[in-house]
Amino acid sequence: MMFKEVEEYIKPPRVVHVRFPFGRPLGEPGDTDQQRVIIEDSLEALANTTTAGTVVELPYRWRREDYAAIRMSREEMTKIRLGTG
Amino acid sequence: MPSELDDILKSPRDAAFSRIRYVTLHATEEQKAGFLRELYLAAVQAKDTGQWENVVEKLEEWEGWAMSEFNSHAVAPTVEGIPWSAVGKPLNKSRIALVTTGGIYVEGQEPYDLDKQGGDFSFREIPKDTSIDQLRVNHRGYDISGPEADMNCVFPLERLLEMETEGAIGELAPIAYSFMGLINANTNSLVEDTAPEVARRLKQAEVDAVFITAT
Repeated sequence: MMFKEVEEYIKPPRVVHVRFPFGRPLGEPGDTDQQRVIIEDSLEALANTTTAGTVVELPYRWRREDYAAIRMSREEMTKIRLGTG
Repeated sequence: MPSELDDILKSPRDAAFSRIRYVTLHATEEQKAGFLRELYLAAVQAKDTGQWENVVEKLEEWEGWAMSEFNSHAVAPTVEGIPWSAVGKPLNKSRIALVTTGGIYVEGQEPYDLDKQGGDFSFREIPKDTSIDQLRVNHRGYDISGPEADMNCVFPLERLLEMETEGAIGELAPIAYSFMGLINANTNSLVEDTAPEVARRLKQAEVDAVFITAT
């Protein structure tokens, strides 16, 4: 979600907060890496949250991140974990 | 002089929906002057050093301040308790449904009524095999140029279909749902009527989790 205080009064069971411009919750148009990073982090929050009302704040600074590199390193980690690398 | 900031921040079209416009809402003249001074100094320094990042950080700092001021003045409905369902399955075995409040609909469906008194609390069903070119957006509460350029930045249908193909999620639920989130006086109708109806349909579709995007 985009509005911290709205999250606080609507009280969804699990919230992922991004500090992105309104109307672009998953990232910039056309930036598939950024969109995937946000979705993957959100689903990870779904899997890991055990307390109702938890707000996970994502650290990303809009355009000032290398989302392709973040995804690449995740794929490497997965390969190592699965022993396929 | 600082009150001219109101006009400066309101007039550029692409600043109309930016968080920075909230600086004008509750700041005193002194605070507005402070904002302009800090921004000016950051810009002058950046021009000499080439470190424009400091200007961005200064804007974000003030955006954060402005949003918290705005929200501390907002009147919020009261919500009691937090509903909770534990996750019962791993993601790669889960049926995930996509829901948005971004005002998305399919070409041929009735667009959201942006002039409806109190806000349009209706919803649209969007089948997951809908071509991305058939998706439309109307909403007055945010800058819709993002989803107009790429629906996935609000309604990540293509990303979730990719993840389904890759096996990262078990399945994307066959029907996604959209609301148009700019609802003021009609929140009761949303809470008592249309939102429970969508929840009922999602339950009937046996979804394990719902991914909701807000704009």
